[in-house]
Order: sequence, then structure tokens, then C-alpha cells
Amino acid sequence: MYKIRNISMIYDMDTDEKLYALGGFDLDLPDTGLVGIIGPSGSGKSTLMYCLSTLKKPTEGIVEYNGKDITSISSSEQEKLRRKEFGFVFQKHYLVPYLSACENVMVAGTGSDDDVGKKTEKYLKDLGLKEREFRKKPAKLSGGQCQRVAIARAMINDPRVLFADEPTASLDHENAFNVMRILKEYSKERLVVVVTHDRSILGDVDMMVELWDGNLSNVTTR
Amino acid sequence: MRPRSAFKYIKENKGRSILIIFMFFLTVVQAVAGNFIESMTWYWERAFLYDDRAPMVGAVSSDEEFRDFEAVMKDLTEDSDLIVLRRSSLGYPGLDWKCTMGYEMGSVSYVVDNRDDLQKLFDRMGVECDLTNVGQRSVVMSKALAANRGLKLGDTLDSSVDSNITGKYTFDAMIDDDSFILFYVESNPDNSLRAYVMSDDLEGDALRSRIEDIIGDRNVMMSQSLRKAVTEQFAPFNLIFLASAFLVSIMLSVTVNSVLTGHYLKRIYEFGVYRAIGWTRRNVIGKVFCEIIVMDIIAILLGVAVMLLATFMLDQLVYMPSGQYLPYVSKIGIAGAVLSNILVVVPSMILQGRRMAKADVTEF
Repeated sequence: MYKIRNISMIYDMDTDEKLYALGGFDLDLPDTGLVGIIGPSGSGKSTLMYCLSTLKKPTEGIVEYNGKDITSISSSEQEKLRRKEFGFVFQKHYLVPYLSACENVMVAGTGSDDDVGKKTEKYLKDLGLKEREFRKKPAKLSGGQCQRVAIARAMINDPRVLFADEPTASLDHENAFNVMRILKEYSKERLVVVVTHDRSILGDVDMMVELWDGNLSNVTTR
Repeated sequence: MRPRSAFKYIKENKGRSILIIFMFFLTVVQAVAGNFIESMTWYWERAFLYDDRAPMVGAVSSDEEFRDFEAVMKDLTEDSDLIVLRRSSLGYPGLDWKCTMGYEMGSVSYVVDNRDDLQKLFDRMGVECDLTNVGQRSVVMSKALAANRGLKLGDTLDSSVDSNITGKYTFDAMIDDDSFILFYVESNPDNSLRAYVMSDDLEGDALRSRIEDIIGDRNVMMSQSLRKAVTEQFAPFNLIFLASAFLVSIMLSVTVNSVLTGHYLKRIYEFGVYRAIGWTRRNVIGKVFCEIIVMDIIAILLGVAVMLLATFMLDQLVYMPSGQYLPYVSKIGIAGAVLSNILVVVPSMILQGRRMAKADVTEF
């Protein structure tokens, strides 16, 4: 699904001391499965995810998604990709505080109100939320529940690729494993890319990409 | 209610929204200030109408000019379209009265020789009034002017009422309109060197133009159009009002934008996520526009309702009992409110819309 060639990302391009977030490497990602991108802080794992998801444009290199270089497509095409084919789970769930759990999922939906409403309820149920929690605002939900809502929001348009940036960072161990179980299940038919610095949650990954100082240090496929 | 809708945001964030709606509301109530400005000319509307229907011509001072005046009178009387009412050329003052702005304004006066002439004058002016009690040294005025000056039928008007009045007159008939004009009935046959010229078919500029043609280059004066004279005098008030509305709006715009900036910066994560999940710039800007426009529409509706209610209360409790009136709507008031609303709302929409469209989840 992804062919990444010679990808590099340089911050502070205008200064003498250039900061290489990504140092120029090649990487291929499969059509389905759970891919873990791991590395210490500053290793470039989030930057790589942003480049894969069109949220950032790499300084150099190609990111080919389904045979098309997505670094050179127009911003409206990138927006369409993010809307139709990609889903996002962020480290801090970033739920809209004044919307209920249900509405936070629906706000990302692109279909008819009826379809989006039905799918929202299904996903929230599948993710273990009780019906009485559907109407609760994020402030009334636990961290784990909020992250499940965020995952449901990411799934609402049935994306082909789901990106999760440190999805378990604000969760306790039990909730962290529950979230990873959900993502693993979802990755059976889609590609799920999880960025983390916590190796312990990546026990079930199909592919592990290890980054160090913006370069690939190891790629393991199971 | 759809989660993306502006109403949803307003409903769930009442405190913040009320603050912004209140600020937008302030732009609308500027119309009241405009209404006060326009109220000054509104008082003159009747006077303009009457003046358009009965302009005055008069002799100046020398014998030769008196002869010219008589010749003009003869020509005017011979014109079948015109009706001429000769009157005394002595000075008859109007009554000063207090307007809604709180200061005193002068007024115009009409003088006729007798009740029949007054009836002819009223017929052309379109005034309905019972003149049964009117005789020599009578005064007729409107209910509004009488209330403004605290006068009632039967009262005597002399220098104790207004220092400009010489002699004694009796308030014998009341007109049921809002004119601020005094009608005297007094005959001075030895000094009848003025006249009102009226017509059943002509008024305003057409009537004046006909009279001017008849006067020609003879030394007879015709009163200038009251509408033009008064409108010219009040024009600076309109400009001052619009300029002050502009300045107030600029200050309000800066304040509103500071509040809105703080308000939207708290939501930068929300819009960052929207952008990340594929909302276009247009979607984000559209959401901000909709939220601001909906709050503005609420503010406008509230503003109009409050303004009408306040005007009604002021008129009923304060102004009408003293013969004054604050209009509910005015051109200058609408212009001020629209100017103010645009100056406050449009920059808010553009600035906040652009800012939120740039929200980037990767920078949080």
C-alpha cells in the first residue's frame, strides 16, 4: 500500500544547524495489518506518521500510496484522502468538549445523517461503551472511554488506513491493552499504523519499524 | 441538532455566546442614537409639507417695491391655478419647544386675516380642525405643540408664555397632528403686504417655480423652501452621527475581536482535528462564519426587539405626554447600525475564519 522512498524531513531549513527529523530512508508498508512505529522522543516517528497521512509534506522523497505520490497532490486531494481513506487517533484524544461521545464521532462522518448515526452507535457499542455513555460529554468520561470515542471517530468513515499517535499514552495498562486489542482486530482488513515509544504494547504487531535519530534502525515483519 | 451546526455550538456554550451576542447587540442599538438624530427633522415634516403647499410672498420695504408687490398680487390672482391669501406683514413668532434631544427648537408661524382664510389655508394644507371658536386674535396649534408647552384650549398666549409674543392671543382650536406650527388669526388691513399662494394642483417645487415665473425680476420676495433650509442645517448632525458610529464601531470591533480571538484560540484543537480528518479550509471557515453570523442574527433580532420596546416605552412614558416623539426607525439609524455591524462582524469572521483554517494538529 505504501512505498516510501528516500524520505527526509528537515526542520529549520533556513538556519545553519538543520534539524533532520527524517534522514532519508526507504520503507514499504503492507495493505493490511498492524504496524508499530517505535522509537524514543525525537526519533521522527510522529513526523513519519504525519508524512504518511499528508498532514506534513516531507522535505524530500516520495510517499506512494496505492501507486500515487501523495506528497505532490493538491491540498484538496489530500483533504479528500484524509476524509475518505484515513482515520486518526491522537495522543490526547482531542474530543470536542461541548459535544457528546456520540456527536464527537458523528462530526467526522461523511455519509447521510442516518447512516452516520447508525454506524456511530455500532462502533461505540463494539468498542465497549454503554448506551448511557453515548450522551455524556468528554469531561464525564474516563480517559479510556474518551480514547475509545476517539477510535470510533477515526473509524466512522471506514478508512483504509488508521493512524494512531501514542494512542495509549494517557491510559492505564489495562485500558492500553484494550485499545491495542481493538486496533489489532481492526487491522485484519485494513492497515493500522501505531506510533509509540512503549514497546510493551506492540506485542501483537505484524510489522515493527524502529526509528533512531530520524533513521530506520530496524524493521521486523512477523 | 447536527453536531457541526452553529446552533449546537451556541446552545452548548451559552455563556461565551451570550457575551459575543451582547457585543453584536451593541452595534444594533446604535440605531436608537440615529433615531434621536432623525427625530429632529421628523418634527419638521409637517412644517415642510405645509410650506410646500403654501409658500409665502411678500413686499420688501420701499414704495417702489410695494407697487411691485401689488402688481404681482394682481398677476397671481389672475392665474386660475393659484389661490392667494393676503395677510398681515407684522412679525408673528413661533413658539420654542423642547425636542427629544433635550434642547429648544424654534418653529414657524402662519398668520391669516380671519377664520375663512384659515379654513382655506387648512383645506390646501390638508389640516382638519374645528374652527368654530376661532375669531380675531385666536391662535391654533397642534396637540403635540400644546402638550410640549403645557398649554390647553382657552389659555392666553402673551409675553409671559413666550417673550417674542407681543399682544394677547387665545388658544381657541387644536389640530390633531404632530406639527410644531402656530397659526395666528389677526387682520391688519393697513399692513397687508404678504400673502400665501396655494393651489389645488400644484405644490412644492412646481408651485414655487410657477410663482417665480410670475414674479419675474420684480422686487418681491418668496420664502425659501423650508425643507431645503432645515435639511441643510441638520446635515452636519447626520455626518457627526455616522462619524461617531464609525469610531465607536472601530473600538467595538477591536474589543470583539480580542474576545473572539481568546474564544477561538481555546478551540484551536477542535479545528486542528477537523482539518486533520479532512475538513477543507472552506469547511472550517464556513463553520466559523456560520457561528458568527448566527450569533449576529440573534443579536440583530434581540437588538431590534429591545430597540422597539425601549422606543415604545420612552414614547409612551416620557415623550408623548410632553408632545415629543422618538421614531421607531430612521434611515440614519439604520445606516449607523448597518455600518457598525459590518465593521464589527465582517473583520471578526475573516480574522477568526482564517486563523482557524490554519489550525494544525501536528503543532499541538
